[in-house]
Amino acid sequence: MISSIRLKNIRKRYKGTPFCLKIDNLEFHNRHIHVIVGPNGSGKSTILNLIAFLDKSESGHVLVDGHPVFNNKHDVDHEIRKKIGYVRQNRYLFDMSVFHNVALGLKIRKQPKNEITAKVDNILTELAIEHLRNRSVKSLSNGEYQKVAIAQVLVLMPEIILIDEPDTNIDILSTPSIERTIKKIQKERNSVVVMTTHSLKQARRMSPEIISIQEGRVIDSNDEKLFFEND
Amino acid sequence: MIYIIDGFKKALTIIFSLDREFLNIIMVSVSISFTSTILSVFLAIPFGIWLATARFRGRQIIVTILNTLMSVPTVVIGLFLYSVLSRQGPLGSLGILFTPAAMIVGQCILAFPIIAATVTGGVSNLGNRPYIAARLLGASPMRSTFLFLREAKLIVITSALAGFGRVFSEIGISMMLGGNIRFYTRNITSTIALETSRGEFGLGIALGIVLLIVAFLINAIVYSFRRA
Repeated sequence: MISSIRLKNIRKRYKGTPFCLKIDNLEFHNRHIHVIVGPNGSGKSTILNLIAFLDKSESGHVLVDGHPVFNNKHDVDHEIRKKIGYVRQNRYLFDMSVFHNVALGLKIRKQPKNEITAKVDNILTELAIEHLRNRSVKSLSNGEYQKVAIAQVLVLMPEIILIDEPDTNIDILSTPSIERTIKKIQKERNSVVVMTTHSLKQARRMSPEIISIQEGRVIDSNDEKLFFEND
Repeated sequence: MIYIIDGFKKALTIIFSLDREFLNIIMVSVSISFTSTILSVFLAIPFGIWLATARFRGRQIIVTILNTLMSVPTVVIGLFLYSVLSRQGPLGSLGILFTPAAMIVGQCILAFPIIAATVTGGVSNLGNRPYIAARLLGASPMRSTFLFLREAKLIVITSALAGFGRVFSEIGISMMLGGNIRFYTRNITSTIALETSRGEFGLGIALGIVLLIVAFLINAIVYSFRRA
């Protein structure tokens, strides 16, 4: 069971941009949900991409339970990948029904058919989208699409849950059920949960400890006010 | 005018009597074009997917070359391969000039850029998102590739049909590399050209009708896939 992830001495640049992510030491553990807040382009998604091994830093390490994981693309242990659930901003659902999309990760994990059905139906109910079960993803609205993408990850109850701006395209009425489900799974599974948001209110609802990031650097939590005055 | 009407009458007779030569010509066309399309699909689809998803210097130049090759006249491919496959040519020892094999090679060269460019265009829009999504769900690289291809199936099918449509209706390669040998390399297009030059319209019109039916069927299949 993974209990912590640490980013150590991370440096990450993108060609052709002045952006540079500089993190000396940042730890995420499974005692509570971690929320990263910050303006657009501050490096929130880059952090999640590094944790998910989708991206590679120029220097530094991602340590899982204290052990460095080397990300040379093909070298990342397939088993570690299977323990990570990541809802990206640039999310993608396959051209099949909502049920089959949500069930896909469980099928990949070769879970029994009856268990898959029960788990999928359960998560769809928790997120109040059971009425979408047999719909094709092509017919979904942006908000529904986002909820199904979240369900697709949460149904796996992964040891590491990464969610990039979960409330993107989501109406105010649906936000509580998503937040409640994330909290519930974190508690039940003891998962390491890292999510990003633009909303300081949401950050405060989800986590006792908010990580603020600006221009690629973790800043003092008191400085949040600088860019969230109007939140 | 009367000779045109006579031509149509003869054409209908040929079609409904299932004339032996008429059927053989169709079989030659179908078998050669089908084989060349299948071979091109195996080469062009991985290439097109790679070109659409890879990021490297010079990529745009390859895309431009591919798009240019889409409009290469068939007689140019015929001329090039004729010089290579003729007795004095570097591959003359193979002895495949004026055989179905030479026609297949030529049609492969014709179909490759059409299929590859169509796949590149389609997959560029799709991006590598399905592959990454599958990997993030824990799928192995092979299963992720399979899921990616599943998402790109419409692109793959339409590009293959576009390639088949092009090689089925070409004439330059068939004439120059096949030699229009009766019951061997004579196909629909080369027969139409021959029969027209002889003033015999019946067989030409019958084969023209077959070409139009095939073109219609290809379009209907593509349309039905898009609708689905």
